[in-house]
Amino acid sequence: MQLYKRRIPLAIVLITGVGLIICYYVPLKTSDDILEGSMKWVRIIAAFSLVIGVYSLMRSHYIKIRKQSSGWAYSIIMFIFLVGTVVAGFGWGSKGKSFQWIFDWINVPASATVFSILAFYIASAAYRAFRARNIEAAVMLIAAIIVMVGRIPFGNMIADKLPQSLKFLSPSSLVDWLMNKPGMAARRAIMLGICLSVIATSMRIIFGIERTYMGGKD
Amino acid sequence: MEQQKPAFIRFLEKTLVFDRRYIFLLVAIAAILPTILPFKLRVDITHETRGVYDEIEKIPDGSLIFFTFDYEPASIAECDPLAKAILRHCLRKKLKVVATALIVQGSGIGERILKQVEKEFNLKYGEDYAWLGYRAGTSAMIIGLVQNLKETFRNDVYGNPTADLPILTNINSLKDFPYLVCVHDDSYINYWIVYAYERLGTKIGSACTAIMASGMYPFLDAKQITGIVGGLKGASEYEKLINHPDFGMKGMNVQAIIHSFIILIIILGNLAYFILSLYSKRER
Repeated sequence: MQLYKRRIPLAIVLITGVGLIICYYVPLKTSDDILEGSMKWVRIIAAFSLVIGVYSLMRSHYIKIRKQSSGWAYSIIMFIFLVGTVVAGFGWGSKGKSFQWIFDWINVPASATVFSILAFYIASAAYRAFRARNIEAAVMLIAAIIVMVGRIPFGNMIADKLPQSLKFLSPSSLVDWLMNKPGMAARRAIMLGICLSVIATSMRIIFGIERTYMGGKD
Repeated sequence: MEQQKPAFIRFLEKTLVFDRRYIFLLVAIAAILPTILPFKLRVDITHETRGVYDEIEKIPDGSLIFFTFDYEPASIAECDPLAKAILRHCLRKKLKVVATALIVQGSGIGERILKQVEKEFNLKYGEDYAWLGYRAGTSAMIIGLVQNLKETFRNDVYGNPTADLPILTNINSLKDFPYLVCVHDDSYINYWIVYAYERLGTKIGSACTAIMASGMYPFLDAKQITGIVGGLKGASEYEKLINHPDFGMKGMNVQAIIHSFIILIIILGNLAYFILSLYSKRER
């Protein structure tokens, strides 16, 4: 049983992982063909992940309705819209008027509205919580104000009033400096850290050290 | 005791904790007023936006350009003006646009935008532009485009075989496109940089939300992207460059007022906090 449950899957991961890395970096026609074929498999399997996602969503909302947990009425609305969209898509095609109407007049405005509410909460949080209680908070506060002023036309109007010798203090110059020096340095460090950890995790998965994807114990 | 505190100090204490619904109301007024009383604000072009504009200007008229709609409906307020402004620039130069989307919702958004510009510029589908749509498997799709575009997209979104589209005659892969514009609201451009720029040297321009723009500077500095058109400000700059004012410029009025309002309330809130801190230290 260990052979089928553990060893064969680990062997498949090792062979495909190492094989595809070699195929990606070796510029031969054979490796390009293998890569092209593998990417077709990946695209098909990725499409199936949508099925799993929908099943998971339906299952969690079904449990909510069955147990009549808080907000279960919204789960019924979710089912109505899910089934309605699927029927519209399969019945009249994804280019059909009903499917397009659902996207253009329900999905887009609802998503945009939910995201727009952030502006109000940010303003409220900025007033009530954004305090310069210590030096680090003060530095962040000053940087945030400089970036906000520099990103609106009023910042350039302020810059016009400065004498030539003080133009380097204009909001747009300060924003340029903030974005291109300390901001970029911090971003680069974070990105390098993320990339190194992705490489390390991928290697762990390929070589069978990380086995959580198989379920059960590590 | 409460009665011994000066009226000004009591007022400051109340303002620090007043109902946030008043702030919501003020933000709503700040957003609505510029739309009903529009005014003109100066727009200065930044070198980041110029980086995308100048690269597109260098492309010979009638050439191809690759466009990707990699943003969700939540970001349409910022990304739609970006996409339209850059598309208008491309179409004025008679560039032939081939478009796709890395995310499923980008396919609906891309279709909507392309239909709008199709009417505006009287475009002929298949000759002036092609809409390939969405395919699952983000990096797998890009690797497929890098190797064999017509094999990755055997049909376009309308079911037409890509091998039969006149715009894709003699086009084999992403290598045949001199420039790629990625309109994104998340880090999808990273995939294009890794698989398109690093493998093929395809030049890439980023058009993104303002939040994402700050994360694009390492790529700009490393010349992995040619420029960043960031947020509504970027859209207004691009609209000024192509001399076609639209929502980008109108939206900047609202953004300018709201930013100014937020700066003001942050400064007032901190002033009140410092005055109260000094007062309580003095009382002790």
